Amino acid sequence: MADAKRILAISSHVVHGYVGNRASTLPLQLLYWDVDVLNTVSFSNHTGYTQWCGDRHSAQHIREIYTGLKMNTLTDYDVVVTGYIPGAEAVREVGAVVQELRRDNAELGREVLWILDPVMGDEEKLYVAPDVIPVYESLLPLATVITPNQFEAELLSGIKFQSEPDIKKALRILYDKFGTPNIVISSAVAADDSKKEEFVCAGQTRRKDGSLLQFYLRLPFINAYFTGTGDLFASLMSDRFWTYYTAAKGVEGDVPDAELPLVRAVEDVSAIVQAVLRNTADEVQKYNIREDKMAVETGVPRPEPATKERRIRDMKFGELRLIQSQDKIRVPDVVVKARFDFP
Amino acid sequence: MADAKRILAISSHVVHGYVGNRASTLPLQLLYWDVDVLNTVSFSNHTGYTQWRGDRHSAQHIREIYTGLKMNTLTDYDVVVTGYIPGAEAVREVGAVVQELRRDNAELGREVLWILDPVMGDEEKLYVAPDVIPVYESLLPLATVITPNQFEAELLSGIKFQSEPDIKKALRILYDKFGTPNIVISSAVAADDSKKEEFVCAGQTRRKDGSLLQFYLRLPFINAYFTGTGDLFASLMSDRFWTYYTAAKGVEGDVPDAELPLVRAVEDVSAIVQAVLRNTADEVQKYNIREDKMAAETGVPRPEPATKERRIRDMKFGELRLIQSQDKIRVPDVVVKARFDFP
Repeated sequence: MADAKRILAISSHVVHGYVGNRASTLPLQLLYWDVDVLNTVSFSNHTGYTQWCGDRHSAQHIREIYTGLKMNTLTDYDVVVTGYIPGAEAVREVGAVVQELRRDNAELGREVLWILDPVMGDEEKLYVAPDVIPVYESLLPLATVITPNQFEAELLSGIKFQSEPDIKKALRILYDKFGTPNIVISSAVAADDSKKEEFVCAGQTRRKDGSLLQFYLRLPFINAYFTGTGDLFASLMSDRFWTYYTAAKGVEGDVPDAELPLVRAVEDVSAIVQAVLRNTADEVQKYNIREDKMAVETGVPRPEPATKERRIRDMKFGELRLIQSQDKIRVPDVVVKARFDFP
Repeated sequence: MADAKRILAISSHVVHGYVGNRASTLPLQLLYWDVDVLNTVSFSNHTGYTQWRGDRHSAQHIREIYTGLKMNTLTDYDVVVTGYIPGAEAVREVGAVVQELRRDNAELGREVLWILDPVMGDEEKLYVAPDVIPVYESLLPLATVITPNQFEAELLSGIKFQSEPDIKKALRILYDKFGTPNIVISSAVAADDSKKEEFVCAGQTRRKDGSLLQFYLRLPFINAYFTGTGDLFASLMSDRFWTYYTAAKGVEGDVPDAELPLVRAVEDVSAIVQAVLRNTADEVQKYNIREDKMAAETGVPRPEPATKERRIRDMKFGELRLIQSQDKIRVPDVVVKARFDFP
C-alpha cells in the first residue's frame, strides 16, 4: 500500500448538496487521492436555492490556512485544483498561495500541476464581482489546465459562440492571450443550434513541439438543470490529466495526437460526468413523476415553477446524485472518443 | 436507485488529515449516506501537530447554517452525529439545534437518531474548557447513543477504571445519571492491566422490557498513536446502529441479546475500525523503518521524539489511512463477537 498521491482542493463548502469542494472531494478520494480541502466559503446550501446562510472565508483565512500547512511541512502536493473563490482579494490570495506552493516544491524537484477552474458565471450570467475578472486573467498563464464553461470562455476570449467554428476560434484566442498549455471548454452549444440535442466538449493542448492540437467530443445533451457539474469535471480532470501526464513524462519521442494526456483525460472525464448526470436526470424525472402523481391524488397542484417553494424543491431533488453514482467514478465507460476534424 | 438516507454530521474540519468530519464523512458516503457536513472549526490540521492555524466557527454560525437548511426544507434527516464542538456556547447551540430538528421531524412522523460523541478529552487530558462538561451532561439524556472514550466515561461517571469491573460499574452509573439507552465506551484499558496487549470495547443497551444488557469485546491493542479513531467510530456507529435499529423496528416480540441493534453495531464497527487501524499501523511502521534507514545511510540522525520537528513528521505520517482502507469500510470482517460475561 503506497502513500496516496496528494491534491489541494480550494473551493466552496456547502453543508447540504454537491457543488464546489462537496462535488470534488468524494470522487478524488474514491480515486485514492489524499485530498486536502480548503474551503473558501461555508454556506448552508448552494445559491441556486435563492436563499442561503453562512459565511465567506476571507483572503486572510486562506493565507492563514496555508501558513498552518506550510509550518507543518504539509504542502508537498502533486496537484492543486481551484474553483469558486469569493471576491478579487481572495482570488489574488489563492493565486499568491499557489505560486508560492509551486515554487517551494520546485526547489525540491517536485512539479505541482494547477487545474484552474475560473469560476465566474454560467448561463450568460456573471455571478462574481467584475473586478474578479482581471485577477483571473493574470493567473490563467500560470495554470497547467483551465476548464472554463461556455460563459467564462466567451468572457475571457471576447467572442460569443454564435456558430460552432467560434468555439475553435475562442480556444486559439485564449492561448494567444494567456498561453495556457491545456484548455477545456467543458460544454458549449452554439447559439445557431436550434435543436440542442448535443453539446460540444472542446479542448486544446500544446504538443511537445509547441504546436497546438484542437479536438472535441459530441455528447448527448441531457435536458435538466444541473449544479456542481463544472466542479465535478475539474476534479476528475485533476485525476485523469495528472495520471496521463505523469505516465507520458517517461516517454521518449512523439506521442500520437489521440494519446496526448489532455485528449485521453477529456474522454475519460466526459464519460464519467455523463454517467453521473444520467443518474441524476433519471432521479429528477422520477421526482417529477412522483410530484405530478401526488398533485393528482391530493388535488393540491404543484407550486408554479417561478415560485420560491417550487424552486427550493427542484433544487433539493436536483442535486447531483454523487453518492448513488460512486461506483461509476472509478471505471470510465468511454464510448465517445475525441475528434480532430473541428468544424 | 433510491434516494440516499440522510445524516447531519457536526464536527471539526481540518484541511489536511483525518479527524472530526474528515474522518466521518468519507466512510458514511461509502455506505451510501447523503452526508450534510456542518463544520464547527476550520483548521489547517489537527492539534496533535502542536501548531495549527484557522478559525473556530461561532455558535451564531451554527445557528445560521441551521436556519439556512431549515428555510430550504433540508432538515429531514434520519440521523444526526455530533463530535468536536469548541466551547460551551457552541455545544449549547448544537444541543438546541438538534432538539429543534428532532421536534420538527417528529411532527412529520419521522424519528431522528442522535449519535452523540461527547468530545472533551483523551489520554487523561481535558482539551475543552471545563464549562463544556455540564452542557454535555444536559444533552446526554437526549441522545440515542453516546460514544465516550475512556477519559470521557471516567469524567462523566466519576470513577476511574482501576480494574475491569469498574468499566461495568461506570456504564451503570452513566445510565443512572443520564438515562441514555445506548452507551459505548469505544476503548478502555484498566489501570491494573500491566501487559496492555488487549483493550475492551464496552457497551450497554436497554432492552425492550426496559432492562439493561451489558456486553464487551476484547480486541488486540495496536501500539501506535492514532488520531481520528473516535470520530471514525462514531460515524460508523451512526450507520450500523441506524441500520439494525431500523430493521428491528418491524420485529414483534423479544430480540435475543446477541442480536440487539447496539450489540451487532458494535461488533461491525469494531471490525472495521480495527482494519483501518491495522492498515495505518502498518504504514506507520514502514515510515519508521524508512526514516531509520535514511538516518543510517545519511549519517543524519532522526530528530528526537520530543522535538517539534519529529512530532510534526510523526503526526504527518501517522494520519489514519482512510483513503487506502476505503475498501474495508463496506464489508465488516467480524471476527470478534460480543461477550456477555462481563468481569
